[in-house]
Amino acid sequence: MKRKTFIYLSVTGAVATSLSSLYCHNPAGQWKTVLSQPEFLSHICDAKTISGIGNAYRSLVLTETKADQLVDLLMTDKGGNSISGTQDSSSIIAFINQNIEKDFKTGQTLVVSGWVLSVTEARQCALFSLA
Amino acid sequence: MHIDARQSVNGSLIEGDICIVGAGAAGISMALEWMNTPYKVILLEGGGFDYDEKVQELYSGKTTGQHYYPLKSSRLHYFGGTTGHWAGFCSTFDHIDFINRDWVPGSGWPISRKELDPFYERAHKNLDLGPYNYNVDYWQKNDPQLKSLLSDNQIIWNKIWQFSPPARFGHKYKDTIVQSKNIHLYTYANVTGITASENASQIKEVTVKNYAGKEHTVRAKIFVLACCAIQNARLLLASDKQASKGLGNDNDLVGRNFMEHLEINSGELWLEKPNALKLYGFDFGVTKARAELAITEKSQTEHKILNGTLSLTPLSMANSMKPMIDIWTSSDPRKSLDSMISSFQKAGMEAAKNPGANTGKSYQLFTRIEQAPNPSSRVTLDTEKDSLGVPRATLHWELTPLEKRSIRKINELLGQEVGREGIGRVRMLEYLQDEKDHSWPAFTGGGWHHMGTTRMSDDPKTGVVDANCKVYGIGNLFMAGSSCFTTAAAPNPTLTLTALTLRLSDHLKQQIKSKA
Repeated sequence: MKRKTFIYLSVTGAVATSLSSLYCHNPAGQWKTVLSQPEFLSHICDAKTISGIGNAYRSLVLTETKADQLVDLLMTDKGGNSISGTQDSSSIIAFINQNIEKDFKTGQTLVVSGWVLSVTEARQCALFSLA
Repeated sequence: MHIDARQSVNGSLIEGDICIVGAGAAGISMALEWMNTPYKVILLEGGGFDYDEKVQELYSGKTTGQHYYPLKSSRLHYFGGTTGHWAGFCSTFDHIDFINRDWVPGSGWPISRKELDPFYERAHKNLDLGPYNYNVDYWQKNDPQLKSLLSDNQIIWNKIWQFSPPARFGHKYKDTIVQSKNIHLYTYANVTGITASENASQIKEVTVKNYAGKEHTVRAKIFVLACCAIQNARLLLASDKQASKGLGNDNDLVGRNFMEHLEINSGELWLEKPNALKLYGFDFGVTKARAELAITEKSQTEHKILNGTLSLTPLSMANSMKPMIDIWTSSDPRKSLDSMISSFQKAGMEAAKNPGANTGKSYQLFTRIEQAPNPSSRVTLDTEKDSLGVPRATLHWELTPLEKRSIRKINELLGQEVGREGIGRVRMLEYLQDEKDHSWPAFTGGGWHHMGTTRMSDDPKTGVVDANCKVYGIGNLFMAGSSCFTTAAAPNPTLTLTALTLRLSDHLKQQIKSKA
């Protein structure tokens, strides 16, 4: 599958608003679309495969089965830094990719459906599977 | 000198200083070492100079446990042995392969890798290999296109394999052996029994038979069994007149710890950018050296896994290839070989039909891994005898969860490394996905590498032979070849068994000189 074009994310609003509620308040799905695109995997897998990985992840990690939980986790890194919803999509992608890189460097990886993935990209798949 | 034992007068007594049983890579390498010495060497080969169906049939036997190739076609029974159809893959064992690893039961050779080094170098000549250099930098210097997949080698390193042309010992050394004055090669001389002294502390003679109905006796000061891991064990077990459990088998170890190299598809490597990965490619008859992705000693220790490597084949090609266990099904080794070659050709043609499919971005991962020593994985004697009256060998091949866990971890480690370097992802095959599943898929195969049935140890309670390959308790009986391996390592065994044989030869020379 060709990687879907990331939709420009234009979200304004109070930064203090929790990320999950941002997600909830944006049913149009911009957040979801950006966050649920595991960049590398989308180069080599079709949507069905990514969705399958996501389903498997949610079966594996029972505390991360809901979209708002996954969004919260994806928008915050291990150091507690989070990305604001006001950022454009490329900033969000960069943030996510940075976290994927950190995951691999710090051993935050797991095997889902046979794929050796960073936790962050596995969460992206999980979010994708909920779309 | 060559004598066809079918033509000798029945009941001949053949005498020499050393009797080598078996003329494959080990037996011939041993004989070559003794050329032009004052010693008379008797080299016994069960077959002739070419394939002979009746002789090959002597290798038939049953298999149980993990599905295996037909025993009859997994070795060749004529002068030159299995070098008659080997592919020439060679690499050295690693330092870790020789040491005691607390997570690998039965590991720890009584010799070190360093002790084998000079013999590896010598073995290179026997096998027509290139320079004794397994450093990837050396090969990269000669060909700058041999670029490493990973930039970091803390977890995964490039282990070099070299390729023999391959050296077919039957052709390569026939004239040399036949023309030698002190090497007496007897073809059609199947050893059917070994006779020891009454207390089984010395070998007195061996009996040889053939289909011509001839039976001869061979006496020597020293006997060396070099007939491959299954036949070495079979002969010892079948020689039970002076030792009821078989020679060298006081501790019930002969035939146990049979090891193979598991060679199995394990996953896929997906790269972000196309990469031809020439360093890891293999073109039969052309490639002199290539690398496989190996796990560092530190990482093996940390994860308590077996030693293994990953080789890479473009997925477009690999997808058309059948598993070896489904190809090598005929008990006629010639037919199985034809089937294998035609399978490769077919896969090549399929790939050629769609050259665009090879994007250089997707590779099949093929794991080659040692099997842990396992006493239950063993060679025993069947009640059925072959036509020369020797009980047939039965192989029970048994794997353990450690092999599977190791394969999974090796592939996972590669996945973590390519992810860490941001160059790709790894997908493991389905049979590796459930950590609790210890079963093996139907396509599980081996490398036709038989090892460990007369394993080396510094303690007779845990080994059949000592550090000099001498059978415990028997003063003049030595084993040559991969049956002596304590552990199997990842590489194909021919280079190491040849090196070990040269080491044994040096030891015997010293021994015979000191006795003189």
